[in-house]
Amino acid sequence: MTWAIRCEEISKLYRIGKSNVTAAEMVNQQLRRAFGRVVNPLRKPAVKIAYEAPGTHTILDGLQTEDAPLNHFWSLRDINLEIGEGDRVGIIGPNGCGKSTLLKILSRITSPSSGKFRFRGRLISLLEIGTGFHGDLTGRENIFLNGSIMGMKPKEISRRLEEIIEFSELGELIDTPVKRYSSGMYVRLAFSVAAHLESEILIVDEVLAVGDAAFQRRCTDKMLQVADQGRTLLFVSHDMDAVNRICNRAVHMAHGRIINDSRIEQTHLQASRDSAPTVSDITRSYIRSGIAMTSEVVWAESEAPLFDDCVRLDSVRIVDLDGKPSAQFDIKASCTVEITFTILKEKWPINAHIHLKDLAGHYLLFSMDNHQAPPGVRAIGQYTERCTIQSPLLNVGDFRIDVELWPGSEAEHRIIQSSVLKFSVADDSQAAGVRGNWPNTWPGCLIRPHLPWDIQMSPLREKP
Amino acid sequence: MSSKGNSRPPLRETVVSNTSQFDLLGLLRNLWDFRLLLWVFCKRDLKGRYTQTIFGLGWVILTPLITVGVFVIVFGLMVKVPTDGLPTIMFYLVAVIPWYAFMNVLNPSVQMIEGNAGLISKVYFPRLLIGGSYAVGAAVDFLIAYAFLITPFAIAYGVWTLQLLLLMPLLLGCTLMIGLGVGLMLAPLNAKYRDIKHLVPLALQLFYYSTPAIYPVSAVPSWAKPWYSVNPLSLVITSYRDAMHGEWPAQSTLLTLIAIAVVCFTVGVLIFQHFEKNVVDTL
Repeated sequence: MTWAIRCEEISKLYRIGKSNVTAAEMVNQQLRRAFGRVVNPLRKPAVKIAYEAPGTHTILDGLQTEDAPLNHFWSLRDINLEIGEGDRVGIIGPNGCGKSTLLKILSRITSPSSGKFRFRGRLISLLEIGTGFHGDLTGRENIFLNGSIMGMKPKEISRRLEEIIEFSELGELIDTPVKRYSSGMYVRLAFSVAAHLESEILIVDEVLAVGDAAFQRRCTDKMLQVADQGRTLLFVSHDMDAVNRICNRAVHMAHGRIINDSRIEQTHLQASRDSAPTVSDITRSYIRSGIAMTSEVVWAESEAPLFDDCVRLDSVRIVDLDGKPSAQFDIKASCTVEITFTILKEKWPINAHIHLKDLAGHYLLFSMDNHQAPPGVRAIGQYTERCTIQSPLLNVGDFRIDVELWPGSEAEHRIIQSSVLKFSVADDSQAAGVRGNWPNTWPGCLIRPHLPWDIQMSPLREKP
Repeated sequence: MSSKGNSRPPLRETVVSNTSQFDLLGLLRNLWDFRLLLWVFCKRDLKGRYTQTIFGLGWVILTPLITVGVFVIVFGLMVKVPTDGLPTIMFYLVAVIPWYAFMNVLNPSVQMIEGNAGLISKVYFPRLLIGGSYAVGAAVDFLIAYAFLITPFAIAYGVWTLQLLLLMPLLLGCTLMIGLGVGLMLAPLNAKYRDIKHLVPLALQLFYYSTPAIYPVSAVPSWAKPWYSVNPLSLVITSYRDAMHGEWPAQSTLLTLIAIAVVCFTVGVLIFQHFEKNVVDTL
């Protein structure tokens, strides 16, 4: 396969702190550093700080300040990346991981501190809404302005003009100065221009979030179509669904480095079982990063969630078949949610509810105990309710459970414990369960139930 | 549209690295690729400058006209500054209009990175084009003023000469090259140290008084004369005045002027190219 972009050891150094350190201060620092070395040659280099934000989140890790001059850090460190022609690559990672710096370098807005990259053909980048738009010019004039800023010829723009206007859905407003546009209209016009101009490479930073749902859907379709035409797409987003939908390759960055990269994903028909992680593996591991799985929460009596002095939630657990709390289940094993609560006062008809979501927040199912619960007001006592999530139901992935104690329709409040349990489901790829004899990667859908199939065969009638 | 067939011509490969080597050919090719952007920027600036104004382009004529009017009243009628035998109006027109052309390219160029930060930090294009568009804009303003003020007044006062017409392109070109060159040198500096944009008007004011705009060179004491033979704006203005007397400027005058213009412009481009790549980081 031919490449469209190739990065070789790209690094970018940035300054920490004040952007204007005066020359005198710099000299001062250098002198002090040099002097310090003479006085005490064994002294460690001055900067070796991992910047820790309040909490556990690391802003800069040690490697980012290693070998960096005083008051500098590596925003990108030795990035090697080869992107094939027609690929749709999603770059994901937490804020400050270097995604935008990488895009800025690839768009030639700033240059790498070391290393180089090459690309083939023309490259258009859409890093922010309405870049290069001029408020006093109309939408139509701005299409030409924006197009030429991106290096297009008027002829090419004219050829695409109708298509661009149509896609932007601006209609008559195209002849209104863009300073009167809403931000959604702005981004619609900007994306339309970028997506319709003829370039071999398109770079899109997270800008589409501004458009409405219908427009976002059309953008997704457009980006897929763009890639179908052989154009290469580079896409930064925090919307993992969009990455899953659009991209055939995901690159996970953290602290200025690539930490996970799916190879080009073949269609799931060809991918072998031991292949590199898929896009959904990478987006899932990104969503999961920093989140600990929880199989059990037990509250002390004084801290337990209490409603109306009537009901107290004592503990919630997710347990395996042996009743042991576990946060890791095999796809073929059922798991059981166990909710223990105490009724202190006979006042409300309490029901237990569970909401099952995946870590990205997709709502999978809701279940409640109303079939088994005694009718009317709950009697005083401690209850343990178990709800089994049978296999086969869930697909491979990370899930969370919200537990709710519901005191009936008249109550204004209730006990809700959001994301109180978190667990994962894994697949050992053995030929069993819903998988049957399928040896390949199972697509990254949310559920994997066993559906009945019926096969009818009619013998071919012989021709007379 | 590109197809997946093999018939497509091979794509041009672009290599980007941090080497600070100056690549004239690459720069020219790049400018050529984006040549239309120059025109688009000019249109944008022109439109931006005169939208929501009543006189619109009329300001191009009104501004120097009013300035010259004031000069004529103050220096011509009241102070009675000598004009080397030229009509007072003409004496000041050929000083004020080239001076405005110089300022119209220098002032915006100094602030071109800061002023276009939104654009520069989001899209790639050869940043030189912004400066180029200011030069074109200043040239357009100058030519309008030249056509509608200098030429008609010169004809009316009977001082129109062939020299006045033929020298104009050269003198304008040098004025713009110097203005743009200095602007390009200062623009990256201004991106980092915003003091520059406060200093430039002050420096320009000093420069203005050391340029024979409101007085003739003949009124200058002899100890200061050498400055007037290297001050490029002085060379421009005296050349115009000489032209109205029907004289060609001295060869040395023109050569000095061209040399200064070429050096300013080249150094400006080189400095700008050097800082251009990472200038976004200092914004």
